[in-house]
Amino acid sequence: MDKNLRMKLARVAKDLSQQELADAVGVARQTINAIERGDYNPSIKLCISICKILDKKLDELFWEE
Amino acid sequence: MFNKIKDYDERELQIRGKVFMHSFMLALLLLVLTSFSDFIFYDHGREGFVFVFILMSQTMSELILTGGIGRSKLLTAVMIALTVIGIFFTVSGILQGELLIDNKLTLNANILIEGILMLIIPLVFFIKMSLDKKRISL
Repeated sequence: MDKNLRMKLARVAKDLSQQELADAVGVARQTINAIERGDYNPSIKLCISICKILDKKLDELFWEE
Repeated sequence: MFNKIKDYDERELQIRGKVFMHSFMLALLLLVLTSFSDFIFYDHGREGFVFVFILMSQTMSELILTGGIGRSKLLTAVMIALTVIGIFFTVSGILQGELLIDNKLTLNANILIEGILMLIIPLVFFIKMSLDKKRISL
């Protein structure tokens, strides 16, 4: 899996650390790190939670062209 | 690591589920192996520990490698303690005497195996930790 740089950029744009985003969506910091590195494929439920916190649409963060 | 009321997230649950399924399969295999313990072990009464250590070593190593255990100061302290105990077991197993009698493992061999199995866990932990650090710094 490729790195999810769009999610990382959206998080940084919101001025959130991995830990803060993890706390907001109720997962471990390592999980956010694994998603950004492309090591873990999150569930749709977690993707939606991340999108809500980062004010983005699903396809903006998770759709691969 | 020792927080029993921790809620694991979906990734952690997935990893743990996989690891403990592997442990369960290994436990079944070891259970079958116990019926052959007369052919493997010369001294009896302690062979169960070897099987427990095999299981513990596999479970912990796989959890560490797959990221199923979050790193903490407590875990690092446990790993250092395991290293010390493991070295003590390994050295005393080697120094105490014969490891094989009639091609069967003696009590000393059991202690040596337990020591090595104990050392595998911190070894995996520290190698993984240094690889992760290297990856972050790149």
